[in-house]
Amino acid sequence: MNQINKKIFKIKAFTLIDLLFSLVMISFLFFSVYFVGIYTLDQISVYSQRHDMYSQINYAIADLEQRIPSAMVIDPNTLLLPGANEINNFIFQGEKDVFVINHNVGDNNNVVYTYSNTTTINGITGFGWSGVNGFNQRSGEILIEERYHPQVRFMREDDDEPNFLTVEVRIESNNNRAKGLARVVVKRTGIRLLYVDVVQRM
Amino acid sequence: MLSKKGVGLIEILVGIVILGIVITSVSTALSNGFYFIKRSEHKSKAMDIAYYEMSRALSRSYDSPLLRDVINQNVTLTADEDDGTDYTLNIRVDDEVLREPLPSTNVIPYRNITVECSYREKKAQGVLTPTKTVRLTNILPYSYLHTVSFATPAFAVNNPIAANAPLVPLPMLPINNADSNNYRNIPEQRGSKDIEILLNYEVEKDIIVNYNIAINPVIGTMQLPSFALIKTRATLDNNAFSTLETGTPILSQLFICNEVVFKNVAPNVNHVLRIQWYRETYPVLPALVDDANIYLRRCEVTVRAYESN
Repeated sequence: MNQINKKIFKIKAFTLIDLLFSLVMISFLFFSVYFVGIYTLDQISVYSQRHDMYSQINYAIADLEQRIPSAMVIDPNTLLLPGANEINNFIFQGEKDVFVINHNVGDNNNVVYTYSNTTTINGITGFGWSGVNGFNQRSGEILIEERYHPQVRFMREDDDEPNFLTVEVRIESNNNRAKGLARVVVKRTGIRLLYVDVVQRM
Repeated sequence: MLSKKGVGLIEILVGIVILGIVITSVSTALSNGFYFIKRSEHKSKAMDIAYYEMSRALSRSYDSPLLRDVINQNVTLTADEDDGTDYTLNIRVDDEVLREPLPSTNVIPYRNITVECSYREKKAQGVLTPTKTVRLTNILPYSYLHTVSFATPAFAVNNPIAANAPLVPLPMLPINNADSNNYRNIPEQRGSKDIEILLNYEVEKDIIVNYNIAINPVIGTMQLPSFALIKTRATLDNNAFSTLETGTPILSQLFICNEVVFKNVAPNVNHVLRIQWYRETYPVLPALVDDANIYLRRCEVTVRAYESN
């Protein structure tokens, strides 16, 4: 019996140094995994938000580029002045089906579009359009959500052609963790109207 | 039963090196992640700037002086709000010509528009990269159709006291021959120069001229015969092209409309278009003289030039 006990106690156990060393190593490993995980999740969050921001801004620009060229009548209050100036809302009568443009003013299928930074559709607010057609049917779409603080400007630069409209879309990320990335994303597009001028005749 | 052999120094060192490599790779990949997003955003922004400027340039007409103004324009745009990246814009407009295969002598002029947006970006270590450029090119073809319009002011009807009094009455002149020298140019305004429309196209054109002339005949004591005519015509380069001459009865038709076609008008030459008229004597009754005066009320000219086939 004594011999057995002697054998067992001869086996060397972990010393304090071993334990401390392994504790440090494990803490280092855990913290590394934790921070890498946090950093990776941050990055995924930033990627995801950037993707969402670019999707929304590109979708908004594609929508503007599709609907505005068919404008037949522009609300006099949203006509631009000669020279460089800008407005935040744009109201015009255009085609409901942007792929069938017939220039029939007053057609019941035409829609009076109102593009605004503060459009509300089904309780969601943001930049988008709301419209009403000749049958008094209402429609609309939010193109950029409010959380990106969309600011859309309909502009005219000096010496632009009278039927050329500049639209600038500016959105802002609310994610502060995107180190080195611009929080503000701005895109501009130039739209040529087919039938009417965007500038007031003086 | 249990091995007493521990981990050797070499094994620990190899382990540390491997762990170091893994950690360095992962941290580099993570820190570069934002740089890759940033890089693609810079490229996307440069593309947006170039695309917008191209849209602006393409919205101009071929002959627009504003298109000429942007030739070799070089502008540094405001720095990006957050990371200080500068974008430099360069727009170039080159006049070029496409020649059709021989034996054709036709040329197709066009303007070649090049928009370049250049930028330099900072790497993760703060080092500036070499200049990167996004380049877009497009063409603005020479217009197939050109139009020019001109109209005189509306002159008052038979009111010599008014500020815009009628023109000097059109005198009655004898007819000489088909290409009568009695034609007078219709003036732009009273006492001013004649209507002269300058035309110069880069390709051979067929030119269609429409002119409308409104007249005001003031008939005196003598009855104006129904066969009293006004002859009108449009001339190009002092009647170098044979043109249609139109006789319009004064009494029944106070509004003269005519259309004339000039075929194969030479390119790159200044052509002068004028509208002319005269009042014809009575060929069948040469002795007949009336006391009517014919005044111009308004003249409008529209020119459309198509490419010759």
